[in-house]
Amino acid sequence: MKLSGDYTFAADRQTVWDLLHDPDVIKSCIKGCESLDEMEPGRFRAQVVVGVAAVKGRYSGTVEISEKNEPESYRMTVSGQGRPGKIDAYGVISLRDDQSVTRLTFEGEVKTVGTLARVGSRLTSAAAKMLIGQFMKGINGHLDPK
Amino acid sequence: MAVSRMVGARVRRKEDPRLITGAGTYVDDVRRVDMAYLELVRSPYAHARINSIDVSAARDMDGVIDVFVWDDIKDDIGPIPIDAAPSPDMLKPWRQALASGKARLLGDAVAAVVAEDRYVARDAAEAVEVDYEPLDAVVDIEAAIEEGAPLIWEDLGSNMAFRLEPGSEDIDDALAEADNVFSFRYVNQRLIPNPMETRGVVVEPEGGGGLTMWTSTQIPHMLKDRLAAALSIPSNQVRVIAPEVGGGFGCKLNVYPEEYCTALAALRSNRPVKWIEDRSESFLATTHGRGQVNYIDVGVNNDGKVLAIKTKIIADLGAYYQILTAAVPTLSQLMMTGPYDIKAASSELICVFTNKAPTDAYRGAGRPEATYFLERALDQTAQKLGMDPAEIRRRNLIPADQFPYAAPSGVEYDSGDHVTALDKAMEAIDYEGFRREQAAAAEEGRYLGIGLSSYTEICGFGPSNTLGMACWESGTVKIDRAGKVTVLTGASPHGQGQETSFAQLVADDLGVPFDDVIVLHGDTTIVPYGVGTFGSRATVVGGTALRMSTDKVIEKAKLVASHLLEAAPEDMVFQNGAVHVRGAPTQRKTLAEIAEEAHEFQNIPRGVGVEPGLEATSIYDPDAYTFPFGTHIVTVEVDVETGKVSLTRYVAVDDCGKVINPMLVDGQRHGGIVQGIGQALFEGAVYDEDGQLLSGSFMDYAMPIASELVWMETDRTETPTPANPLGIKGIGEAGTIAAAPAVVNAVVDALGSLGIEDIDMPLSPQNVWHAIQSAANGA
Repeated sequence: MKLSGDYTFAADRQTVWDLLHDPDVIKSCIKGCESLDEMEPGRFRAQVVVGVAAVKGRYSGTVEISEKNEPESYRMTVSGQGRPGKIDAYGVISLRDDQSVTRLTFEGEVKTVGTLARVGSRLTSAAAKMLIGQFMKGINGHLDPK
Repeated sequence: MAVSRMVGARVRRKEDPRLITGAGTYVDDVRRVDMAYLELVRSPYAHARINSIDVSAARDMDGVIDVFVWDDIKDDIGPIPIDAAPSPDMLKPWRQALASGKARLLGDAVAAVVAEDRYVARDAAEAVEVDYEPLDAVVDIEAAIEEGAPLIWEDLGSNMAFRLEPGSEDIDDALAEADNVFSFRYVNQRLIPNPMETRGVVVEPEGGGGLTMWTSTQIPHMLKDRLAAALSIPSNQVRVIAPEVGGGFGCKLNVYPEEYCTALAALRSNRPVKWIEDRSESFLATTHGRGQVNYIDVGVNNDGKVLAIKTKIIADLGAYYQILTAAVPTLSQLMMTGPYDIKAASSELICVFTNKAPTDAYRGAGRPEATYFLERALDQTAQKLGMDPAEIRRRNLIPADQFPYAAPSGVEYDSGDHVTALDKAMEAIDYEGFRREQAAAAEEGRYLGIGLSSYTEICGFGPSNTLGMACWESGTVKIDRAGKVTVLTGASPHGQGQETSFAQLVADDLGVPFDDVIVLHGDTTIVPYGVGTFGSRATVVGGTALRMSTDKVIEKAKLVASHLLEAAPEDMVFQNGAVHVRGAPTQRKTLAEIAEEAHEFQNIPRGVGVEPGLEATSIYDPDAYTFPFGTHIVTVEVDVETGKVSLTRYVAVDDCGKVINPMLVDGQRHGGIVQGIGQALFEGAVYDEDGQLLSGSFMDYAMPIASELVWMETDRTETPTPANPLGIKGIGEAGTIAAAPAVVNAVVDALGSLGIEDIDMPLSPQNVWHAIQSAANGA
């Protein structure tokens, strides 16, 4: 399933880039994130509890950041396994200046297997959008209010 | 003493008191001392290489008794049998009890866990670590046979399991003779049977290496033989019991990996083991039905007479053969000209492996698919010719005086009066009146439609020699010392009501009270070998076997009576449950008196060649198939704003020959029709491109429910079959076969003025709405 989104941050690109790559910030912005450990540069092990309907459950997996082109774009690959099933996702995140703000766009794809696909497929897209929205809101919260 | 006739009466079911009071015993009600539980580890991928399976964590858990994978059992178990081999050249991959090397469908079992209770078993199953390497999945059946498609069975080199070439090379000439040739494509979507009771198995090891299996099956004897062979256990040490079965519809006409695994689990641990399929597993691991793409060319003259049809059937087998997987689409071929007198017909069959659950029999099994493409094609043909759909049917139905009728598929139809059934259905629904109502409604901007479906089907399997498998049935009638009658049937009824209909038949034949007859079935140790209940065969074949046995019992009773009454055997007359001397009706013995004497055996002279007891067993292998038929007509109203289809009337005129119990016949039709409506409007197995089942729960797989249905007005004609002495044709599947095309024809009829010619099933509001939008946009 394809996913895409568009978010605006009231900060310059470098600031946004730094926040998006700070493990502590990331951890605080993922709702239900129990742990996020950097195993090697750009590679994290995470444990997250998701509480959305059929997608509900504790997931553990890896997050990998690659194709870094600071401060313009990078690729994030997520692989998670939980009781309801397995999630594989990737997204290409791009940052660009837009007058005084930074615009973030992403395009990616989510694949699910197991109960997640069978029972949760109708909810996966909505759940993914909600989780990403929460994350971006969290990043925004780390910016000094104007 | 006059005995009232039971045959033909609306007798209430003997089965129901125990079923509706909760006294029935289903597999999950079976509890054995020291019973353990089996759980299977299933692949979350439709197609994946299995690099390794680590069971150590599961094995170490408290309460876990055994964990096994294919390597642990491969020397102890044979493959899932393939009972249907329609082509000598067919690729023949064998299904294992547990997959190894690759998982080929979502839910493929790769390991088995046995534990003290179900919860531990499930936790342990989750602790089994399988390293899968996902592979591209084969989902679409037409893409499966394209160049470069991923191979499900690499060793075999193709996803095409087999292909049966069209029989007639002259078909193109025959088509060319017609004024018009129209070509259509139809899709018979994959369906998930969803019996109310999912599958379940309990196996108890018996002393001496044998075992007893309780399983929710339609074929206990067939299963027993195949299980014994696969396990290398003498077949006389295997007992299979089908207790109450909560719905089969064909999906329990099989031999499943779970039955093998439960047996192995019990033998390995030397304990009784239970496995109960949960609903999610049932969606994945029980056989599915339908799954065909059909192409049909119709050669038709301007007057509506169809001269020739050329068909191509592409059938989705799923990843493995189950026992009759390969046979089901061949039944579509046999039924391709349906109830019509079409002189030339050809059919090409292409059967394809996909990374999906195996397909196999599902109520109608091959006949609904053929009826659908033929009935839809006739409606579309009529529309192109500007002809009424009822009229094109009338012009092509086989006239009653042409039976027996040799169909171009090679089968001979036994008997029929199709035009009368059509007339009766049209009169019941007031066809002309509806057309006026439809026109008036159109003035108000309402969309009403009417759909017809005339059908015939092939039932009453065997004969064994033409089917390529044993397909006879046994029937035993025993009269005990007290005159009570016990009937044993090899057919294994599971909801069809033969405990009642067979008791009616035997009560009438013997002239004994209905309440004195009980019918036993479904236990291989109690009941002589029989084949099972499927293909609308149990009453046709099993009933005839019982008629043969009551005849024998009566002959024996006459012989015994002749000694008691001291008269010649040829002067014995059997009437109303008693034997009397011809011309001397007061010189008589009732069957109960004869039974007592036959058991006591003290008043029978020695040396007259009479054995003690009063019972007989017979086996009947039919000489010919039977062909029930009829016409169903549906009216609908479609809300074009939402795409919602409302059924407004449903008339079914069916002819299943002679009828033992009209209430049971109606019950079969009600259930059958609802299943057909389910396919037409609601159901469908939807997979994504990776082979993940998106409609894998009742949230996404819509079963028909009462509020979406309509009162079913059932009527019958009665054309006995000469194929068996009872004149019975079978009624288990007729409703399902007729209903789907009738409903779709009605909806397309309603929307014809919008330029809609066809909509693929299911006609969900979404699909209908999209069709309306596409037509409006000129797409």
